[in-house]
Amino acid sequence: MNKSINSLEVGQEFTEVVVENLTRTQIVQYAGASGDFNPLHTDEPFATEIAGYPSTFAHGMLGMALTGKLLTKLFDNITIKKFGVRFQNIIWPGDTLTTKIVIDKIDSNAESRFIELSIHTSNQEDKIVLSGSASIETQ
Amino acid sequence: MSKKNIFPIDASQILFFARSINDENPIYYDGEYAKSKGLQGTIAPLTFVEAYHQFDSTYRLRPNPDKKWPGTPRQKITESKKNDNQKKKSQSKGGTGLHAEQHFEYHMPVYSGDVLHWEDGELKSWEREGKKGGKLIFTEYSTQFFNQNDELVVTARKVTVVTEKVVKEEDGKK
Repeated sequence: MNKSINSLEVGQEFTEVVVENLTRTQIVQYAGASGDFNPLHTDEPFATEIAGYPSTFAHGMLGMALTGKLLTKLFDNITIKKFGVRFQNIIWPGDTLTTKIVIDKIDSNAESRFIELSIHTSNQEDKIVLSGSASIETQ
Repeated sequence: MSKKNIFPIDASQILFFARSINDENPIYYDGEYAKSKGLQGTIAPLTFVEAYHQFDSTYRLRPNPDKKWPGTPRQKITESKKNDNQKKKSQSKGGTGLHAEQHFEYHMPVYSGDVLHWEDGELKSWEREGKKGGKLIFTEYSTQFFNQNDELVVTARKVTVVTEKVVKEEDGKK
């Protein structure tokens, strides 16, 4: 993908499933890797019986990290200058998440090419779980 | 350079993090591949610096031997315990603290073997009414991460929200 960066066009879209049937185990795995052991993510009786949620749920940051996989698949890590998201809906165990990246703007000068992207990740019900943007700069 | 807030970037931790997001990009574990991409070695995934909490001595969302952790027992939680917890919640600021936004600005790659340190910026806080009633209290945190050469590598900005009510799926905020 990175090879064809010069052929990108405004409006072009890239879509990929970034996780299929998210498991509670993966949520706990992410808790261990990130250090965020909030019992809302790791302790089912706490999340349901004490906090009043229907089950444990994923860290928003797990959703962002999963979303980032498509970004780094499309663009070399070192070309990514900004990546930001707003968390919009809870990501639950069993969710299948699809990320869509759209090229919003392309600018260039003598040295560099600048690309602005909008990003949405949705669940299997087409409900957006997070949305955001990223900026790319290539030589 | 301040010697507190040290965040060593370890190859194993990067591998565990990449596994936890099913990311098999070899740039995170294969040094030769990373060099073929113009890097000095393996690097950390885009959102990895969030794991600095592992090294934050004040972090609350990790069990700490000196503090009580809200674990749950094997047996069914009794009504009286549930009521106790609900009462505690209603006496505290209320609801759940949730992550509302996260933004990263990347200045330089974060390499395996780097020793980062971080500096917290000023907190900002504001309130507004939620769509379904109940107050929402927002707090913005900014953190700058520097490498062992005191070069700024990543700037992170996080917004959290504390809700008065349990967030329902359709409330539109996680």
